[in-house]
Amino acid sequence: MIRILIASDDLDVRLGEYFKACKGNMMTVIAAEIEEGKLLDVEEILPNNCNNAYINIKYADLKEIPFIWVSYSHGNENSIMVNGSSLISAGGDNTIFSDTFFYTNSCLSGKFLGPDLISQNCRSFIGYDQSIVAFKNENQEISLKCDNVGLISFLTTDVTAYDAFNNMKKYYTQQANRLLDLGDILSSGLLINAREALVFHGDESLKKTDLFFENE
Amino acid sequence: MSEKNLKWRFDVNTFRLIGRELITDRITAVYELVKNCYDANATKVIVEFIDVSPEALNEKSKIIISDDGHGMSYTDIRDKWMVVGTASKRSTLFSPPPFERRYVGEKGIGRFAVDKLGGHVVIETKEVDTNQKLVVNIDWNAYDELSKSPQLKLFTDVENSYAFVDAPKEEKGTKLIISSIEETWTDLDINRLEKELEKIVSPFHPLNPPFQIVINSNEYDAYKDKPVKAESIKYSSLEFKLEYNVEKEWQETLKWDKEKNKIIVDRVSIKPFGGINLRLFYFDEAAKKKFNRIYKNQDYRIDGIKIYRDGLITTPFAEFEGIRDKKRDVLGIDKRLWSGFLDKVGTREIIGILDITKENNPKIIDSTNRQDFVDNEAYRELKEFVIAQLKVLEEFKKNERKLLKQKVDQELVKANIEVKEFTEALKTLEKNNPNLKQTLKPLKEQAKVIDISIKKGIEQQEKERKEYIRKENIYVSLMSLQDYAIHVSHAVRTALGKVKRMAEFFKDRFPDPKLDSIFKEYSHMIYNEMVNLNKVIDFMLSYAGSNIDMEDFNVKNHLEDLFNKAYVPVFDAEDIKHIVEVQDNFVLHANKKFFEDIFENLISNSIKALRNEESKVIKCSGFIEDDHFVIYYSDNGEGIRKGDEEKIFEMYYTTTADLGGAGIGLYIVKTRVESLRGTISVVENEFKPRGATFKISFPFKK
Amino acid sequence: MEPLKILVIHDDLFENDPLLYTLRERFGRDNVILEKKSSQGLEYIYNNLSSKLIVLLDFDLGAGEPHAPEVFKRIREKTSLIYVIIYTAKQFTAIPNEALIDFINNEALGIIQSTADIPEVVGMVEKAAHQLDTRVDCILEQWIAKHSEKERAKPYLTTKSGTIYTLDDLIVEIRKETELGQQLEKSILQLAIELLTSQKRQLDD
Repeated sequence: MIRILIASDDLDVRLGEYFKACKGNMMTVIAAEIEEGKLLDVEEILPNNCNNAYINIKYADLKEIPFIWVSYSHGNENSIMVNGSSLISAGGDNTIFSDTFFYTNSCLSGKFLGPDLISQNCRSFIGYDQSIVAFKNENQEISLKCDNVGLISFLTTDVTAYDAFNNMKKYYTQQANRLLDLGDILSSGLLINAREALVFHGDESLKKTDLFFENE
Repeated sequence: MSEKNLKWRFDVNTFRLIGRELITDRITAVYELVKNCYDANATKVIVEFIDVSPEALNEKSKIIISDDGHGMSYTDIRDKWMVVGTASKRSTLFSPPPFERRYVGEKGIGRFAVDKLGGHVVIETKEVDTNQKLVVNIDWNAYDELSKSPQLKLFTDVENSYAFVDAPKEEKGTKLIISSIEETWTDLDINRLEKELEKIVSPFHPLNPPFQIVINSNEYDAYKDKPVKAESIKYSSLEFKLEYNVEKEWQETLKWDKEKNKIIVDRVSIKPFGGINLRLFYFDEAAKKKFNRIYKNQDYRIDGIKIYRDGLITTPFAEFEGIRDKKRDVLGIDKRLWSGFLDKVGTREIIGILDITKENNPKIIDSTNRQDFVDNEAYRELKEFVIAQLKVLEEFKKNERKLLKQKVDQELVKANIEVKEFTEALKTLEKNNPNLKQTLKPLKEQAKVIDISIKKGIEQQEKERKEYIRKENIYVSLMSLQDYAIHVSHAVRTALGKVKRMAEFFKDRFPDPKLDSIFKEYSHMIYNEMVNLNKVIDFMLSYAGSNIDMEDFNVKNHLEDLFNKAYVPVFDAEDIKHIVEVQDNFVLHANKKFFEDIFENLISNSIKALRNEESKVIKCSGFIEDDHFVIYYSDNGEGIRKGDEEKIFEMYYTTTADLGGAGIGLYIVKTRVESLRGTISVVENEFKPRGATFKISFPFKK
Repeated sequence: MEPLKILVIHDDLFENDPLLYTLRERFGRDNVILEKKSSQGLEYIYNNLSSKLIVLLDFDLGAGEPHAPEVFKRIREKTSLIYVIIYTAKQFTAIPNEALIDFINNEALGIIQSTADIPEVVGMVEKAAHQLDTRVDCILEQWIAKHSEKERAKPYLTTKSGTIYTLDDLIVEIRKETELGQQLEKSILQLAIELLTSQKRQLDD
């Protein structure tokens, strides 16, 4: 069994819709995997419960076991932000994430929060270390796929976390080329820009199987 | 080793023009570069001259400036050294820890300085804990070629190569290797440089951490690894040391003792700017001569008062200015005078070292551009304090001159009396012994000659005194002209530029039926500009014809002429509305030019007082009141500070030093009014609540 | 695409001055603006921060008006994309050193005397115009301008920090040098480098 926790800032005025869509897409993929008999246990943290105290109390048991953390939200160099306040911050007690694969689409948090988590025994971290741009309208799908493709390849194939990270970059490049062929240089450039902001911290060799644990 | 390129973006011509303006000579150039080393937290700088003498100069000659500072990264070079516009973005006043030095260098100046020293430079720079040093190659001669091009060229058009070279990890610092040296350096040049570099650090307040400058030359024996160290100041005629004591709350200051006619050191309570240490060295004519003789005419070294904070030069803001008159006079010492013989002590007669500290003088704040201190109450008081010290020296100077004159006068008079007594004695002798007449004759004649020459001496003495007054008058009226000259030259240049463009247009486009209306408009404008120019020049020439002759003139007519004709261009230029109402006729027997000086200076003052006003008015009215002819002169400017009504007439009192106010205008007004036996005073302002009104009153004898 | 504007801030030029006349011939009648008061010139600049603008700036601007160093500083507080050329009757040596340093630090493109020949002045303005034209922000703008008005007014992207932008909004962001504007510029350069290097890769293959 691999436990997956998903948080998303659904209520954010501007990007709530987008975050929600990302989460929806990820949930669909996971559901399909479970259908196929994969031992995944996914749990969604409701927007109202997205605060530091709730997580620390509710998921205290996770300190002892590995899991995958997924969050879709705003961020800054030191924190993941939900509902306008910080959910996880560098320098705080983040031992709950020991042995965790941390996957986030928030801006900037790869800069200081990522390394801080790794220093507190988090296994691997994928995120962005600069502020990046997500598309709306017809191009929203591209942003969403780009944001999710890393974790999806990690969950659905037998690759390492670092391979997943590289797949993500590859996907970004493909999409940028596609947009370029359509003559949309600006969007294409922004994808390259986002790709360059992608960061990986921690254990490159991490595989799905490392996150497995026996459920009593 | 891989070579890459770095580029500059700027118009080459402008760049070089600015460079030549900012870095006027080689001393300045080295000085600027050494300051940069200080800012880079260096503790040691070596300025090395290789084969720079007139005999040895060749293509391998070099000037090398190296330091052990923090070095520059590739981004520093690319974003700071190579980009023309980054200095203003210097976000802090202090260098990085652990030194945290107050920055003294003007960023963006380094490259101009290098350009001045030689046509080619290699920058080797290395940051500590890196494995490579950066080597950048800049060939100014290539820019020179570019700047000769008739088209606008940008620095982007030239590439500078750079490379990374392996270097020991612990090595750090920057080395500028300048070659293609064009000007030779004699030992005297290097000596001059040494003397300037000495000034960076206060001789009385050692720096911590240290900053050592070493000059090295492979040619001059005096400069073999010679540390630059300030020499003590010698040969002054007076020397003072003013100190302070924080606990006991006293500050020493100079005071002129009127009874004893000498300078004493007095104690006052600590001033608002905090305690200061001041060493003052005053050089009278004889001392200056001696100084010059011993230091081979280096009298530029007597250069006024410098302020050091925590041991490091701050004003004249760590800049070397080769041209004396361009020196920034931040303390306003020379604004108070324009000639040495007016009993004023100027920067050329004193050396002063004023030490302040961050700790004891927190209210003296560096302004962000590092050109001056922040203009606050404390700084103004500090300036006043310095001037007050000079005024005491001026009392001394005046007294010395008085004593000398008295002595000469007395001796002349005494000699005169003695000769008379001698002649009397001869007469008596001759009367009593007529047979001695022949023998005494040559003696008598001799006495006569001596008598005549003594009388001539006395006459000469009197003549010189008059000449002194005459010269003073000339200088005083020249000063009032200076402001006007600035206005005039700007007006003339502007008008010429306009006429030239229109003429150029005619030259290139005429004839063209489509442009007929434009041609017509231009021809009118050219004509009008010429008429204007003529007026301006006529008015200027009117000064040339003036002398000190007295004449009768009607004040009413003359005032109307001045305000409605002569000054109109000035009023127009400044957008000032003027009103002149003179009711009664009044004939004055006076020098016309002197009379004009009164209004010229009042108007010049008004222009400054009106600079921030929306609608500007100057009003002049005149009428007979009892036995006086009274003139009221008013503007609606910023007015006169309460309590200053008397002070403003004092010489050198100015509230507009920043606008070039020398504090002479109202002094001239007052002396001129008085020379016409009139009086002038500040009265209640006519344009309340704004403005100032002067009442000028001339006695009226029927 | 929005035309380039030349703003002349000068208290001694008149509307039909040969220089202005020549500039108008070259850059279009409505694209050369004269402001005699620097305060009004600044107001124009502040209201047109998103325009392509070259400023010819006199040094002394008459009593009560901000002079060149002040005007310059206030332009640079808002944008560094506007090119400024100092155009003055003042002799070069009469310009205080502090002002010169400020000019350099604020990237004045050049300084030219008002007694210079007209072609010299126009030449400098043309060079500035060329520079403006080849800059990333201008290239981007040209690309954006190729879209139809309808396309340009549609929401184009939303940043992860919030706001929705149309292509037209993006031009403003770039001109005002906001964080997003700078990011756009950077991203386009990254793309360019990406393309150049991938081309090279292909050649190498």
